[in-house]
Amino acid sequence: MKKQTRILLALSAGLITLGAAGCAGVNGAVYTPGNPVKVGLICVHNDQSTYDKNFIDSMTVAAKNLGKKIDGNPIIKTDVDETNDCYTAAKDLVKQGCNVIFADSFGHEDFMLKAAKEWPSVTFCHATGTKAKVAGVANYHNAFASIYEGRYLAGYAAGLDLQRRIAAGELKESNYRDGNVILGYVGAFPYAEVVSGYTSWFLGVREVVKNVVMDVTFTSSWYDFNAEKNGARTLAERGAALISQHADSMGAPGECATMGVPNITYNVPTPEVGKTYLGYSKIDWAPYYENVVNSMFAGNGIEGETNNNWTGTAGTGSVVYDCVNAQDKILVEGIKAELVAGTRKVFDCAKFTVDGKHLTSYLADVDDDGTFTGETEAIVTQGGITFFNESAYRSAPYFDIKIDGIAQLNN
Amino acid sequence: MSQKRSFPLYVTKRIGLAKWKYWLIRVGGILLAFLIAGIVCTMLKPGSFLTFYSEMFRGCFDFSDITTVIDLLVTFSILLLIALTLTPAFKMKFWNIGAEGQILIGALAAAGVAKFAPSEWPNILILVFALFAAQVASAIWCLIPGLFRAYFHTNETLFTLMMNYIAAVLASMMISVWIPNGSQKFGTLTQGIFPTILGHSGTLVIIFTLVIFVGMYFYINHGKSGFEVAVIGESVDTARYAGINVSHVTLRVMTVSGLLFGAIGFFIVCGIHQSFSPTIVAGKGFTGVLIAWLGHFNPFEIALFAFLSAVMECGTTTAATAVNISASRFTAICTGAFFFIIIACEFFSRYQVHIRVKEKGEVEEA
Repeated sequence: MKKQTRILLALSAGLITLGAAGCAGVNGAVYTPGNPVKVGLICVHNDQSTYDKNFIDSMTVAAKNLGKKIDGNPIIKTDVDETNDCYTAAKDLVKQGCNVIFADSFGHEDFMLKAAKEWPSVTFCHATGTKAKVAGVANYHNAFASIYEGRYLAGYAAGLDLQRRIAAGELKESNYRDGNVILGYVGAFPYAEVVSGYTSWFLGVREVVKNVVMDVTFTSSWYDFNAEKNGARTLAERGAALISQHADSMGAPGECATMGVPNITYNVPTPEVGKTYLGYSKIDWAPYYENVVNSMFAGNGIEGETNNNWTGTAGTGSVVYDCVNAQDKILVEGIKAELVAGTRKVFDCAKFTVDGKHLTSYLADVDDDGTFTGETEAIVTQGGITFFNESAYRSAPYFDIKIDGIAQLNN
Repeated sequence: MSQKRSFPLYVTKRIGLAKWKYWLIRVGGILLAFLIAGIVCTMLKPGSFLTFYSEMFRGCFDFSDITTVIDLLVTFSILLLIALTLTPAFKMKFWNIGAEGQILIGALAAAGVAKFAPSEWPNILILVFALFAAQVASAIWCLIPGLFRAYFHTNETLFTLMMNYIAAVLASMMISVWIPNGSQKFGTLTQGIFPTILGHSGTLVIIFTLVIFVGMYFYINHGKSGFEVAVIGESVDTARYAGINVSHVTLRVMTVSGLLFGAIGFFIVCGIHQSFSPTIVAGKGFTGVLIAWLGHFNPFEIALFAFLSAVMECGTTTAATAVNISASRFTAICTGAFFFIIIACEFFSRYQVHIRVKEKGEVEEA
């Protein structure tokens, strides 16, 4: 056995020496503008998850549109955990000569940042992250889209449908609470991104039907079929006349179809569930991918960025929504035009109250410095409208206010 | 003679299979497993057969970048440590399949200490406290089923399995307590972390693994405790007759397991990932069970299978990207095929399968 120990020791020592001898370290490729850009993408799951499928599909579209500006096909890494595995995946992409590396999940951020510091010649772009503004790392970028606008528009469309059902007397007594129509929302975590999402959707519906209240359940997961299904069922049983969700599985749309409750989906349209499907909203990442590659190709910084943050809007084509009813869509398009023109704001302080009062000041937690306290005044007045200025100081949402009319059921 | 309609196949125990033949079967099985992985890859992406092997090699032994090799050795180290830690319990027929949760609890404790220790403390002190907390937590997690087995004869397999789920939920819950913004992401540690050596924060883990390996080798094969464990594994009654207190040995073995699982959790959090998530053990606790079993509780055989599993994992993860197929599923298919074939080899080298030939005069009833 002693011999075996010696062999094992010698083997491992040999391996390490051999490695050290041949070790040159990993060097990031240096990009010269005008050359095809080599692109890598890190995904937390694979194309079976609607969330990741949205990124992968956007990348495919962007690659097609960019044509010769991209070097070969984008290298896509799937099922990369939000652990050091993300750093390892980024390292492998750097080794394969990528000039720009995208990642799609919030938890990838720290590991992308670590890689960005290690390979300054490579551009790192992290979707949904919050640290680029304060990190001060030149080659590290965050991006998001003002999806609250998309949800608002989808909510508006759903409101038009709800209004028709109320007029036709289709609602039951159980759909009302103190004279208000009950709405439901299946959320993931009680996190700003989710709070911003359901509040904007609620405000969209309320633009059409004034007397609404909303119940929100949380699944404590970004993707959990059963939890989302059960959440939708709970909401329907509590009388919700209309349901939407942040979560990504088919759990909620399917259960809404079973319970006969109209539904607005996120990330992916679900017309297959039948007549309960009203419409959807999603972020289209292709404009961002194209913008980054085009900017690099031209030898510029990423166009449209502030503090290394890029926010896609309805104007950039990043915010997408659709509704089944063609007549409604014409009306919603009008609202969208107002949002693009800036004459309408989603978080218009005149349109919602907190503890019975209209907000005049709110310190939002924009700078992700680990303190979890607000430091940025987010209420501004422009063009005569006082509103919460979402996604302006950084791309990821920071609206985390509990407004009147919305009840969190299980937090 | 048998009056029932009998199954056309039957097995008998194989006696006296030469050792070299046994190993020939095993090596053949291993090669077959790697071949099947290549075939699966080709089926998913036609024409990728050779790319698969070159990418697999690049994912494990890319000597132009030492950190790739360290990644492989770190994966190997963790699998080896888990299987070694399980070995004493398995030897005394205590079927602990709760390694996943027992490590996770240690990892959780280490993460808590590393995150919240006062930043004035020197890094080494935080590390010591993180290790200590991890070991205490894991030891408690191991002792709960140990105590129930020792004093109430509870089935330890179900008990330890169940506790994996409790550990996972506890980990999620603690993160939501620690991270008040609701994002459920722990982020990376800035203190209580291993130094980076040769460009990798897991290098020290490999060195510690070598030390633990030697220690476990002697604990299992040469100590009094190892002997007691072996006797209990053979026969509980013999052990009692020889004056061995079975309950005490059970508790001792589970304490040792806990101390080591705690260390593994600590290595994973403070060394390898410098972060924490409820899925950070990533199923290695279960793979470790298979490795310990296939290695016949022999540290050197265990090391061999841990190494092969690590090659399978690291190689297929890299190869999956090259051929653009889902990494986790592809790795799962290949690892599954690998273990399935090795277990089949094990079966066929222990037993012989015969086809039942109807003997003359045998009456078959309808």
